[in-house]
Amino acid sequence: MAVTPTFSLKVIASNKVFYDGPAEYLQVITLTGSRGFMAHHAPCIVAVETGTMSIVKPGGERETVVVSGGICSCANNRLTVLVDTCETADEIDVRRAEEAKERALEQLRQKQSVGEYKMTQSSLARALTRLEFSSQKKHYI
Amino acid sequence: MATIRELRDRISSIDNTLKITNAMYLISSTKLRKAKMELQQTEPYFYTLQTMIQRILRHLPEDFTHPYLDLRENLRETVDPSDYRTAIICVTADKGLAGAYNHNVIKRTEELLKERPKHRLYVVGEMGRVYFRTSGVDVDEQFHYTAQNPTLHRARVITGRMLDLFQEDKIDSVYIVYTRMKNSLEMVTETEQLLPIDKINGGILGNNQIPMVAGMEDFRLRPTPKAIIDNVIPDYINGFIYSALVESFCSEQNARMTAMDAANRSGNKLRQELSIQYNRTRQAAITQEITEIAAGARAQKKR
Repeated sequence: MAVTPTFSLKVIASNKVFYDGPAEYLQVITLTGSRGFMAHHAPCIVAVETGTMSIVKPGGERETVVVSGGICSCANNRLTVLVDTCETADEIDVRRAEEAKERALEQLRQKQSVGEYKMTQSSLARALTRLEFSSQKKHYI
Repeated sequence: MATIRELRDRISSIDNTLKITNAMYLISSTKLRKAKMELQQTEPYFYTLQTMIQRILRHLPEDFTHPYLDLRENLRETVDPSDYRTAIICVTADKGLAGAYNHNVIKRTEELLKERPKHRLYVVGEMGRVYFRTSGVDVDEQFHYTAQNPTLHRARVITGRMLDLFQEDKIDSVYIVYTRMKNSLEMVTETEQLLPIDKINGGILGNNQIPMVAGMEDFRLRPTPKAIIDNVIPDYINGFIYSALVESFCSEQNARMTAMDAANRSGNKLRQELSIQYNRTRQAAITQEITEIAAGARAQKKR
């Protein structure tokens, strides 16, 4: 079987460099839906939405993480993903996400400025993605 | 000549002060180590973000406009730059005893306030807030953020506030005054313009040259340039504010550490001088007593 070509991938969150190395495949959620990248993708810049992102490492091992909004750029077979936060399933604090969800829902019911509304919305999205992701994980186990 | 008692009191009071300065030195050095680690962790994100934005701005269509890139050109022609409505974020410490750290930031902010008479001031940290309130500058009272242990969330709240004001056309530009660690010893007070992002001059991004090797790949901006700018600019501002907060916190701890180190040293020096003086006075008193006794004894013998 032919070896799947790889590209160099960098996933940088605001508090750490999450991944830096070769990868076979990357899937992210963009504003217009899910999008996959393989080696030698055409140069482009896409906006990344809050959601799950999976990386297929050389050899076929797949790692799935939760990311919050950011941006992803691809050029010369190098892919850079810049996101606010990036967490693996173990790092997610379910209770905290639950609380954040409650808080966001509460705040959405109150009168807010446009910016506040957007911020609450995005924190709700973050909380929901985390909860969903961690519940999926339980199913697999 | 001071009495023995006075000297002893003085020495013990210096001892007490030394205990405090010593403890503060230790505390700020551990805090500094923590803050430096945080800074190191955010640096890759921040620098990549900067190059990414430069790249996006280079590849934007010619006639592209966006609220965040709005330079208020109609305003530029009619109004003098000094009449722009300006929001100023000033990052100070929560506590004093940090050498010239607070004064430098406050001085720089005051210069900016004079330059831009139509201002709104947002102060992070208690020291600056107290100073500007007592000196009669209009400080936003709803803006209560501490300078301790900066978090991404706090930066996000501040960013949201600024972007809101900018989009609602309440202000024309946003500045931030903070302290940057130039190296582990030197600190610089910086003033940067956060908004609007100057597409042509590059603003804060314009300092570095475009490398020749970078080439002009034809990037496709998906889904639309606007969506990308919408996504990335708040992140960028957020990243900048966060790193400014972290840098300032780092500088604060560093300034306090140096100040406390100096205080320790001069305290020790003073203590040494005083204890020499104390010992001399004590010795003089003892000698005096011995002479008196000896003289008394001799007088008794003669009789």
